[in-house]
Amino acid sequence: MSFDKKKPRFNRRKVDPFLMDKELVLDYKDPALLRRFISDRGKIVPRRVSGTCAKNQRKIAVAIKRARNIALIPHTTIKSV
Amino acid sequence: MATMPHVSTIIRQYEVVILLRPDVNDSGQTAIRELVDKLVAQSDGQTVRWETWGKRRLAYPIAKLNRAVYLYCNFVAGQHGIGELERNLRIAEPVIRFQTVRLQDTVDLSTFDMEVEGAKKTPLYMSPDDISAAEKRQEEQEAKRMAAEAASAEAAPAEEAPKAEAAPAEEAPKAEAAPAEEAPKAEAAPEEEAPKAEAAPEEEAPKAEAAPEEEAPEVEAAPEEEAPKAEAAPAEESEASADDETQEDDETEKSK
Repeated sequence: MSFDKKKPRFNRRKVDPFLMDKELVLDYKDPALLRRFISDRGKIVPRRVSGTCAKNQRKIAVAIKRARNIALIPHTTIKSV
Repeated sequence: MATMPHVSTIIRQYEVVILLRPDVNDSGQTAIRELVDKLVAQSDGQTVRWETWGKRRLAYPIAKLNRAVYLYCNFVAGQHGIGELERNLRIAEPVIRFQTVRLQDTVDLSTFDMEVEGAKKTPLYMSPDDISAAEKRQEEQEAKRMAAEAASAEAAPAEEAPKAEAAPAEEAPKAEAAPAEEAPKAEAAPEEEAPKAEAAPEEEAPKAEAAPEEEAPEVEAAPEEEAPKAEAAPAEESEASADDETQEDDETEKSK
């Protein structure tokens, strides 16, 4: 435990926002919500970073891909010129 | 899930999002709605509700267009009708993209509550009032943009210069184009969307720094490192740093 105190950086518990807030509904039509699960480059944030549970991460991945299809969120922010 | 019935059709609930060219007028939109209504009716179904999400800025260009009018339709229909619907949407001239999603396998029409389903709203729903307000905002911003464009056309190349010494000739026109594209984003994105949409994409360095505000706790290593490096293969960079973190993480766990 003393070790943990030395490195508090890893102490923060990561939580699945969908388990924390039962009201929160994942929807591919909600880009504001999906932006929490993509990096600023448009990549899907990995589970080890976002802390979502495996089941929800799979759903998030599908939702993000659907939202990308209809151009609500980007595939990437790097422009190919 | 019911076993595969030998009777011909299963009624299911679907939703389709349709993107139309931004220059489509009201009658063009109505034509698409009527087309979908007709095809849904033909496949033993019924449209539950229509929504319009207004003219939105696209996250990336489709058919060389940066904006599109979004229509949303929720409907119940027999499963064989979808192919025909999609075929017709592909042919329809103002449609630049569409996406059908199945919401429910097997709907029992006798218990299906049209009113409840019809009253639901998606997060992007815009009422007629919202739409006229958005249009007004759009006009205002258009005027603002015109003024800003003149100013930023002079300022932008100076900012851009240190980042890309190699191709300043190419960079300059881009810099001019960028603010013009950025400005309408706020108008296109309705309500609470606006601030986030502004902060997110675009390749410019100041933008990248602005974005993480929200994401900072999640992506610790990435954004700060990425911003300054910009063009220098940041994708690998962020992965590498993320991996480092994992290793550290593992080590800490072991030592516990």
